[in-house]
Amino acid sequence: MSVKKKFKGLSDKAVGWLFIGPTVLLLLAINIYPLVYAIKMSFTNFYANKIGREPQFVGLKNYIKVLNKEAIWEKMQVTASFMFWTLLLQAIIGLGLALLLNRKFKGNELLTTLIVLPMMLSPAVVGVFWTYLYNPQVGLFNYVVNFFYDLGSFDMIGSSTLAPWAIVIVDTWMWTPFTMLICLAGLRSVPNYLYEAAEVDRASKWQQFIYITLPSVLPFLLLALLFRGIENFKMFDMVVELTSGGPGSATELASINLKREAFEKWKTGYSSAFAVILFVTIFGFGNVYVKVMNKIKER
Amino acid sequence: MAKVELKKLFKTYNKKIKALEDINLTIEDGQFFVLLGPSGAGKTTTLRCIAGLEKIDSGDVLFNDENITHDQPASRDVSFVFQQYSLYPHYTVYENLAFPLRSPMRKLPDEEIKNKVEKIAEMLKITNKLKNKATELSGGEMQRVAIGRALVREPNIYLMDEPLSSLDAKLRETLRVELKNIQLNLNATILYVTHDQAEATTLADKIGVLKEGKIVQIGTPEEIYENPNSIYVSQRLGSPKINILPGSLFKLDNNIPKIGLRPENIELGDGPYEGKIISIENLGSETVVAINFQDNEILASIQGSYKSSINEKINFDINTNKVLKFDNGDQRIHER
Ligand SMILES: Nc1ncnc2c1ncn2[C@@H]1O[C@H](COP(=O)(O)OP(=O)(O)O)[C@@H](O)[C@H]1O
Ligand SMILES: [Mg+2]
Repeated sequence: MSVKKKFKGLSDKAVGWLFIGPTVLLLLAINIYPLVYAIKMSFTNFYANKIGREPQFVGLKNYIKVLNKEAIWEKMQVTASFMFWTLLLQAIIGLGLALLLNRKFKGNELLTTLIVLPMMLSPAVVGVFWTYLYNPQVGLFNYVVNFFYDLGSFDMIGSSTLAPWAIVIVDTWMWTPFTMLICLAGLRSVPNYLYEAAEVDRASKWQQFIYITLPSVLPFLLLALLFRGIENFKMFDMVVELTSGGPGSATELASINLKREAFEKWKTGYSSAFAVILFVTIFGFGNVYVKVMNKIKER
Repeated sequence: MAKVELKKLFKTYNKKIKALEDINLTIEDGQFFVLLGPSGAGKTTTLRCIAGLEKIDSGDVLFNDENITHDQPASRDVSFVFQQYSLYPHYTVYENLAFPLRSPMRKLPDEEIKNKVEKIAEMLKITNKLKNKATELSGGEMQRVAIGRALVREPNIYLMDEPLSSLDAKLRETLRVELKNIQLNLNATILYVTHDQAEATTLADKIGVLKEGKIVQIGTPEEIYENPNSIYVSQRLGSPKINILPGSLFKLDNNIPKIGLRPENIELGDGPYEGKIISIENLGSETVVAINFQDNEILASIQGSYKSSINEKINFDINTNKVLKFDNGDQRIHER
């Protein structure tokens, strides 16, 4: 073999692998391996705190246990209602703000930056921050609410009827900017001549919204909601910081319950099964959602 | 339909780009008016000012003698075919055509909308595309839908911004003929904008020639062709293009700085002038011969074909009655 040939370099394919290789390895190590390991554990009676005891294969027993446990369905309901309200509010307010910011006015850019700020904070910080805001004695939140409508003293975090709304409000405050930004990108992609054509065709503002604006931003909005949905299904840090799932289990989302089962009660096998069920749920919903979204986009 | 008048219209963009200067024109009810001018002359701006999509600096826009300068686009009731396809991309061809009829200012019953849409679709030969999405069409089909969306209603005036320029030659010709027929049938008032002289001459009742934001001449296609008031206007119509030559080149009575000589007003084969053939282009029904005469290139066109070859000497004569005379400022010198 000649020297020249030896140094001829790598094929395109090899270069490709060289580039994505590190990422693939990293993904395998921190995503795929734990997943596979969890799936394996979910079929055993493993307790991570009982060192030395060999886990035994128990078949589907963990799964049956999870699905038959009434409390699990309650947590799922808490998660579902948290998701429903956060997504609904973030869709409406996000789109509304985007529509406002899409107009040209002075200070437009500054306002956009300010609105986007909450999104950039760490969820744990947001949790702590809002704990103070919600404080019934000195918190700003109660003060502002009472300023507009006198409710007297109330405790957003301490009351089991108000606490679910407390976390919905914080998540909406934090993440509406995200849907807003993506909707804004959608709105900016609508060419102005469509509105001019509609204007000349004597369409009302409402018709312009229905015929032009809404169909153009809908794919963007749905994409934003997909991201938010996945995130909120897994919501953990902000809520733990704010309410720790309480009072009682009023704000105990599935993910918080899972953490308790896994790292407070150390039922590793059982909680692995729970985790796999959550994973399959979100994976299934996500896929259906993407299919529907693509249908809408094609329309 | 309405009579539309523009009076002393001025329009600048960004406070410095003078797009329109002192535009005065009248489009009679039922007239097909063509604005002819090269790119950047201000054609689109004129249409947008009439439609109310641009604020004008000064001047008046009148519909049937009523001043509507400050009215919103919707209340002006005009229809507009835009230069670029501006269909509503999320809707079908049918919905696009029906859209102007669904305006709250019009509110027709569904049955009537259906009839009108189907009639217009048939006229433009897009009936089989009615269920297609607007984005699932060829360029030609899109533009026909855009034209259909304008024609589906009866506004004060139809404004058309180079509606055929993006189509291929054959379709352009077909649609041109159709558009003229439609206009005659509906007795429609149309302001049509183009840089294509063939469109201008075949469609127009009246042509307005636009140059750098100013109207330099208004007249029938014949008047513009036979009686242009400047070199610029004379060059707008005619193919092959008019010859602009120094007046001293030919034996003409008095001192004339420049003359314009249409190619068909040159007779080949015989005459007092001798040149050399540069090229011969046979276009079928006519032949264009380029002649070098005292270092000027002159185009002559004759009926049928012409037997000769390049570099041959050639004698020719000119039809002095048809010579257009221009002064040093490129303006026409009129005989008294
Ligand atoms: N939105 C705009 N902003 C600034 N200048 C413009 C705008 N639209 C057109 N112009 C300018 O105005 C002049 C006339 O443009 P336009 O009416 O589009 O010409 P045409 O349609 O004849 O090609 C051109 O010099 C063009 O650059
Ligand atoms: Mg134009």
